[in-house]
Amino acid sequence: MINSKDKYFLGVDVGSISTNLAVINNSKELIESVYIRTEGKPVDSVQKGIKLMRDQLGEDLAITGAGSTGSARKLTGVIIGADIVKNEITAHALASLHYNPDVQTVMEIGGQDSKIIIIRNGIVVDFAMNTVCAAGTGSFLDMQANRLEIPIEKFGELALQSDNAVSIAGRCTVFAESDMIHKQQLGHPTKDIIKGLCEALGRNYLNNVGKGKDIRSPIMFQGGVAANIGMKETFEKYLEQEIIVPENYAVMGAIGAAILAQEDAAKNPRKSNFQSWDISEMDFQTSGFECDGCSNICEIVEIRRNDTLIARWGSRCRKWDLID
Amino acid sequence: MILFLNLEVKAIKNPRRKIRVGIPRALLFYKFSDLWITFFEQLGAEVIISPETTKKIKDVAVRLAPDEDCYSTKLYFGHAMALKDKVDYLFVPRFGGRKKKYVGCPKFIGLAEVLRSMVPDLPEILMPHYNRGMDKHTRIGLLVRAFRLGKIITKNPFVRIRAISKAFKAQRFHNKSMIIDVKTLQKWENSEVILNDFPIYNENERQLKIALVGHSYVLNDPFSSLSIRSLLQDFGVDIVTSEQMPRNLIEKQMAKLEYDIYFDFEREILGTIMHFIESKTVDGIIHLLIFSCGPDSIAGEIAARYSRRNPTIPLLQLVFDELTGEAGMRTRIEAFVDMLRRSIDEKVIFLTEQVRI
Repeated sequence: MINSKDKYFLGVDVGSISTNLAVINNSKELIESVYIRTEGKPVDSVQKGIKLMRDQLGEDLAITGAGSTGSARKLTGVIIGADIVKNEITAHALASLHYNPDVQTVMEIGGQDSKIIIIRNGIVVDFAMNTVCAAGTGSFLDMQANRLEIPIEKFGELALQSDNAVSIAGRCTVFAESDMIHKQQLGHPTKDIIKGLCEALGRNYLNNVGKGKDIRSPIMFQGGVAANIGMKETFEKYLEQEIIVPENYAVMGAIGAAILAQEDAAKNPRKSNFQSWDISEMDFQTSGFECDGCSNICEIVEIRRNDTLIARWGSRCRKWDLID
Repeated sequence: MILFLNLEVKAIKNPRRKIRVGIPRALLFYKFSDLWITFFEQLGAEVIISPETTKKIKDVAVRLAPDEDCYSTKLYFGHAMALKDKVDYLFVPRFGGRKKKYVGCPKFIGLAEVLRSMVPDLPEILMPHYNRGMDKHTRIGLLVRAFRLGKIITKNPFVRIRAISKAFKAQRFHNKSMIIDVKTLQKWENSEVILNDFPIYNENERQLKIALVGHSYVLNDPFSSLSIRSLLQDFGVDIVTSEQMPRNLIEKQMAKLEYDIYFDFEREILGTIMHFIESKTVDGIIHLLIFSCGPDSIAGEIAARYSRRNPTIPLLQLVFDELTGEAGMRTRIEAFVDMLRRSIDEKVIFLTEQVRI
């Protein structure tokens, strides 16, 4: 699979809940991917992810370009030495388009945010992200799985076993949880409650994030929550259309970042900034302080690699920004 | 009567010092600053403007202001507090509207009274009332009110008359230099000129044009709009704002609605959005809304529906409040610009050299 003449590109997507990495070749084929939990420590999880990737591919594999995306894209970009740092909308759209060039709608539900991307003729024409509330995203499902002591992987299967979903309020997770407890105390079986929860979250997604959007097929469903087959069923029920869950649904962001790096290198060939596979052995320190230069009291963040300052940001006036 | 006493006491204390009038840098200040500043300065007062919004001003504002107020109104309280111990008078006009049929925002009328009741130890508040919609509030009435207001600073009637005339002149000049004419707008739409500092953009990248639409006090306050103007400039985008739009183009669009939008400032916002959706001369439109602003929520919905019916020009609506995370907004703006840039529809030509107007 690995060919010394081919070029390889790395994409890293660090979100609030999961960190995923993907390596693709010059024809944008996925070579290897890694999916781990961020656990609130983006730097550590990037290092861990890189180490796992190196163990799978061998440290001799040369990286021609690297890209980062996700909510920690800026930080990740500095750690791995990314050539391109892009938002997750663009990354997800590119990955979906590569998977299916005809795709018209991409639904992505991750750990803490959810988005919808509308594509026409291969071009993103509209998108929306959830606003302030994380209702209906992966972390809430995780929490409920924990409470009911059901492994999250079994959640979807269990939902499929039910043919009598109970109705659950999906607008807000606080109400959803009390509704679920209420239904469980009345004696409804767990599988019906779980199916009800999936339907509530699906409705919530379509009414909030998908509000007013022209959802046309082919529709792709990706992100960590796409593992839940119950959610896929819910969407099929409400949209009355087939939902495609791509094989690598959990690492689509990373694939998109890798494609961005590949496109960038093709357009503008240069030596990659990619550090090396030894990132996991390096020592990264982040520290912060409050600037007292004016009454904005900006929070400045500094990132050090082996005691060398490599990046600093956070000031409104940009006086602390480190430009290399 | 009390006013006079106050004035005399102050005058005796420090006969040489000018009377200090404080104006909060918020809300309508961004529309009428030239009028107000010129008026008080010509009368012989020293005008003190609160500084640009900072985190500290915001924190004070959010703690003090009533919960239900919109974010921009909350900020007004923070700006008023920043002036509290620095001035003799606070100028908080009660502005209802400048046209017979249209209104500004009811919050602007109540602001002064709310401030006084919430913070009793504020300096005396000057709160002249003007609302063209009311029978007695004619244009002449406005001049009479200004004349009476001026008495607090100087008793000399000639100085007061001159101050009024100079103030209105300054405001006319401000409007004239702010609003671009139809010809210039057309040149901009044809990508012959740019309206701002030359945007920073990489080679081989398309120069993008975006209409940035919103209230003056959002567009011009980098704090509440999370510096969207400089962000867009960094992304290589040239913008036209709703306050720059020629009035006749806005009225032309408004006439197309089956109903009359009676919120004066929303007419400007909605008219701009409708103009560009129709003319298709920009790559995209960014609409800045303020959380819990009533008029904004109406205009926002109308704009969204209008755009859905005519989907050629993408519209991004961003809602700001004190809890807005910068990261999420940045992601949206970046994704929007990316989307426009990646679109194959090459409406815009490359600008190779800087053309300024």
